[in-house]
Amino acid sequence: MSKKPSSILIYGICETPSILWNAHFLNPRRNNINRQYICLDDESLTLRIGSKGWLEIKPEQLLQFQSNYELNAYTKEILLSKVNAFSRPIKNALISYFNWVENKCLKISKGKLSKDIDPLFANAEQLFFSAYLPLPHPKIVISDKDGVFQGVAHFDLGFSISGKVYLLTFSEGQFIRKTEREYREKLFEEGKDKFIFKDLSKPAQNNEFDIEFITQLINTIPSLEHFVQQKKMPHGIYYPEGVNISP
Amino acid sequence: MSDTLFNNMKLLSQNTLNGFGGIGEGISMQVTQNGRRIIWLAHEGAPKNFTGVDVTDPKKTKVVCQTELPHMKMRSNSLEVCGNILAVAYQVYEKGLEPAGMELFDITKPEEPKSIGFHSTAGPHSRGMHCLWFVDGETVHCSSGAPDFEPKHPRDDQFYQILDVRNPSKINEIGRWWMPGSKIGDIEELPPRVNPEGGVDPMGSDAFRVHNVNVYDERPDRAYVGYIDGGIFVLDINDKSNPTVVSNWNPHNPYPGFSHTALPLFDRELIIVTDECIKDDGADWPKLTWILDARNEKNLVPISTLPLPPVEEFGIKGGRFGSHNLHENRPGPSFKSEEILIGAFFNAGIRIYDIKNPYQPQEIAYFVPPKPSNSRVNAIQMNDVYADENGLVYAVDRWSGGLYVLEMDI
Repeated sequence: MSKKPSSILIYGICETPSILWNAHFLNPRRNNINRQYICLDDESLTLRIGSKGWLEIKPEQLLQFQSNYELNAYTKEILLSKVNAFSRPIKNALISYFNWVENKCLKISKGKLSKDIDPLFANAEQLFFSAYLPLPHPKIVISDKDGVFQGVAHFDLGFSISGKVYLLTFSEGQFIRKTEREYREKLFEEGKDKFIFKDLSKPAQNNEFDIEFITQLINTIPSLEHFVQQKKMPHGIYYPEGVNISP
Repeated sequence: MSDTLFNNMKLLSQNTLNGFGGIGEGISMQVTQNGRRIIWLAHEGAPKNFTGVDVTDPKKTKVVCQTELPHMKMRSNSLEVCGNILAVAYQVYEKGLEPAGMELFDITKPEEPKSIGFHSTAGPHSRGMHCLWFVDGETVHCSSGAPDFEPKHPRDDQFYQILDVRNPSKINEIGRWWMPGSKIGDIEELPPRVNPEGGVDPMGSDAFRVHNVNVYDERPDRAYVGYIDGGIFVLDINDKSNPTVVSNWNPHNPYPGFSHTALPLFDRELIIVTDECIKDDGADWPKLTWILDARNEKNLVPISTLPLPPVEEFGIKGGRFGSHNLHENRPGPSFKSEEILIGAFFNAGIRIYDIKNPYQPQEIAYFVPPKPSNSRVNAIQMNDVYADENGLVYAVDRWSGGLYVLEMDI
């Protein structure tokens, strides 16, 4: 049996999380971010829409996009495809978040640019990739001391910013099963400095930009607003191997 | 209780209701001003009308009120509580009999229900009201006949009616809808009857009439209607005076009929549909609970059914075996979940399912008590179920077992 690796955050649609955990357990790779899960061993992990790993796209696919706008639309589509078909509030939350990010990028790009921002990358479509990556259906694996899979604590939406993992639900007072409560308790007990949990009111149905939802989201995670704060701008979803762009 | 089958459920108490333990499909909870919890129950048949049980201490429940029907040829069957108002449906066994319709009671003092309004739906072709839905304090959505409604077939007499009950002393019908083709004078044709047996006996097994209607705050412009052999209808009731069809889903035939409840789960865009078992000894098996994909409400798609215990075992156990009522996530002191379903399955007892993955529902708990004393069939007949916001489950037997208070361990 290998040494127990750090836990993973599985995101998107996943019916059998033990498969991913067991694969990870047999071959743990540090700082791994892939299309299905993220290793939680990086104490300062920040995930942006432009972060490498969550979306694998080949150079020839990239060539099909005529503009950054198309690339943005594709990125959003991929994230929305990771929402379970029967989870409307999560889909609404993502749509609202994307709209808020795009509006904010537009404002920033039209305003007076900070000296820290490279004007070359300051158009709204490129700023979009600096926004923090929303993770639909985040699930944190709970394992025993030997690393044997126990279960997962489920949430509705997540973000990873500066090593903190924000885990949100839209439960609206609905019943939570005993095993779920127990897994969450265990998770927060073991990672009280790492995991931040909040139950939010769900976004309005069929509302493309629910300001009340965004307000409570930002009140919970104030850093979401401050995604454009650095010189080195992420500028897309594809980074050639060997080029060191830390988002 | 050695014959009880159970998994992740525990019986806290049973109350046989002073020997009148036959309960229909009306269970609703009142929380009084001083915090008492009263479960109101509609009886399956005469002589009792409704019973109030104080369940503040779920291990030691107490009947605080039990009322009589005016005569033996009627039943109450369905009721709902909203605040301190109790609405009770009255159905008669022979058309033309009275009283038939709905009565409202002020239950501020549970021990002394006071009649505050009555709406008659009696008529030469009406059996009155079978089922009602009352959750907003203003409107009753119900299945009833009416004095001016003559069905082409005598079993198709109860249709969807909307009643304004804001003034209990002057209840008004403000809307109605029936399946086109069911009323004399309709030019439309109804589909072929599913089980054309029993001639014109009103109690026969096939029908194109309404059973349950569910309307929720989340979508006040939609009514979800179980229309027995007509399947289910989603109706647009934005204009209550003119309900219109959004969609219809009907598995009958080849399935054996009797769509009973259509329970929408709004956040998940699912609709749960039960087909009521109406025959003993598995004669109409399988009576299923369906999960419909309702993301496109105009194109409802069945994606799974809840697993039932083996027909080889339960089909011959006695009485009915199969789906019936569900806990309906109604407003008020009520359990709410879009992932957990709680259902009453007659001799298969109370069963609880996790539908987090709606393609593969999982049974996670059940409680099947033995045949209650004095039952007319050889097994429990769980007829209806209600769960409160604390996760306590209130289940009722159709013939004699009365009220079972259960605790879930899920």
